[in-house]
Amino acid sequence: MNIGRMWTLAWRDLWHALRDKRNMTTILLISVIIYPALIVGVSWFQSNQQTEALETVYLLQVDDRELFNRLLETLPPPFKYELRDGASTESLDGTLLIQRDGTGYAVTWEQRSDRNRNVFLNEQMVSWITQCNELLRLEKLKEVGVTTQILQPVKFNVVDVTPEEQRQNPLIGMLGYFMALGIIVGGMGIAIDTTAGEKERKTLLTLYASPHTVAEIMSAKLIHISFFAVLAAILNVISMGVSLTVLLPMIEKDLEAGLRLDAAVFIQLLSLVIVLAVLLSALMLAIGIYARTIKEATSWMTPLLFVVIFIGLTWSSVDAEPFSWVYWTPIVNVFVSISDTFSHKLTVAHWSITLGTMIIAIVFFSMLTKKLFQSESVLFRN
Amino acid sequence: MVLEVEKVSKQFIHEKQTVDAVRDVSFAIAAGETVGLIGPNGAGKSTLMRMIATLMKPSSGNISVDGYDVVAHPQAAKARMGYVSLDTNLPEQMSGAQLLRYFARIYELDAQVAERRIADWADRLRLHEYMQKPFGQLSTGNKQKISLVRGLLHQPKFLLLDEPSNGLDILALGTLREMLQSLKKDGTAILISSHILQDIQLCDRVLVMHEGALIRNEPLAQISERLVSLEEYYLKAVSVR
Repeated sequence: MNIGRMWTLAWRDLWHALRDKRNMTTILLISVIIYPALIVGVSWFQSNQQTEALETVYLLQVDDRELFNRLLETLPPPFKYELRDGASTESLDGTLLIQRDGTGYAVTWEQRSDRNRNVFLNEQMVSWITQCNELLRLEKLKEVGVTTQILQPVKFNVVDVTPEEQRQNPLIGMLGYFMALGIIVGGMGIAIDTTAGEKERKTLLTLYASPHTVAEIMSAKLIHISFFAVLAAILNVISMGVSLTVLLPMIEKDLEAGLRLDAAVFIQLLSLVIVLAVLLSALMLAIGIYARTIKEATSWMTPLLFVVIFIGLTWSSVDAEPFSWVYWTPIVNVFVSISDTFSHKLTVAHWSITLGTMIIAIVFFSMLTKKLFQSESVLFRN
Repeated sequence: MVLEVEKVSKQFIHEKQTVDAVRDVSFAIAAGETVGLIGPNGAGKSTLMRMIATLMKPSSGNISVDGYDVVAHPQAAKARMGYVSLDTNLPEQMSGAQLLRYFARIYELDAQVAERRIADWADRLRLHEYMQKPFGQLSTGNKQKISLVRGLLHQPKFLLLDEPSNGLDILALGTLREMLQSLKKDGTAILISSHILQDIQLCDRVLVMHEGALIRNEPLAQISERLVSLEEYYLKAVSVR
């Protein structure tokens, strides 16, 4: 392989892709917008969960008002309520009927199941009724001389001892997956254009007929795609860092739990996203060269996007065991390691295994892609 | 001989069946000789041209360019060959000058030599005013001229042309023919594959392919002696099969 000739081809492709404003605009926009939008979105979702439960519940019938008032005083419900003589459930989130039933009470909770927010309201209601039951039961037992100590000789307290930086944070599970998304979006258009696009425009065979070797053509294309994928990865890490350190404290203090960003985290993250970007570039190159047209390449790269999203979502929140096989599985190990990096759990051994296996996977997929570049049936597919 | 094709065959697997695209084809082209390759659609011309251009490997047989086997030494063979075909388009966003400089670098030409050759070809083909325009914005004729210069920039010993007059106007056709005559005088061996029989009239020899086989290999002078027009000759050759 003539390195000089390979660079001439890689530089030609890079220069023209850089001059096309659409490529850089896509990468910059995705990187700049995605993380602030993610933080605002998660913050909104969390605050929404809390406010949703404050929907008004209409009490249609309470047979024992004295008892009910006492319950409201000693055990206030975690929802708003309003007493009504009767109303249709059509426009309501739910209605509560408390009726006498022998020596106890029958509580009927009518709710609409076609409203997502009622899931939270329902949880609050069940929890409140359980606490009311407990309160009334203890009062009755007290009347006959049975104390709490007799009923519950063993007291059980749960204390969360997780260090602040290792607390579960919904953001941690999403960051790795969003970075992979940024990498694919950054490299996909370039990969399609430089492979299936060149085939469609009939410019690829011009390179094959020139003194370029197949290895030179394949390597130049891989460098071209990797440049944009790595650029997207680096911009994603920078944008994420700025968003987490500047924007997050301004919007949602609670989401800072378990997220500590320092130089070590950035170095680990950069190394992980760079190897992920190069491996995804090799995969996109293989798919792109196999496709006959831009349309075909686009429809084949979409499943790749979904596979990476699936792996990202599944493995970003997994608490992997030390020496677990996941650190030896390319792509999966990057998502687990990104998650570990944010939680300050990534060991040097796991980091090295992840980088090592990813580099082996890059070499393997590059060799496989070279085979595709050499195949007549791939180049002249009808 | 600059080009030697010996018992070359090519089989493809199409829908689980073996298809003989090229069958046992042999011929040779000497320095300064221009040979025309004609045949109906599906005769195997494009497959044969692609094998000579190193884009495909023969299933059997040998092809060599200036003594270099195209399978064993593809780089050396490609360095001695210029290939211009409908398969080999050029990137549309680059200007003619940028494209030619790029290929000059690929062929490892000295920058000054490359500039001199580009200017010379631009003069001969009246391309100067189009050299700075993006390739995609040029007319079909000017695109074809730049593609031809791309194939000739490294002064190949063997020129492989597939449908060279495609899209050329009468003026450009005249220039192309002059160019080919001049290359012939310089000792360049040329193989032209074309549907346009007028292109073949420039040739010293005619090859006719039909259903993958080479069915005629005759000097054009002999055909003319029999007072047969090229069109008549071609139709007769194909219908006899």
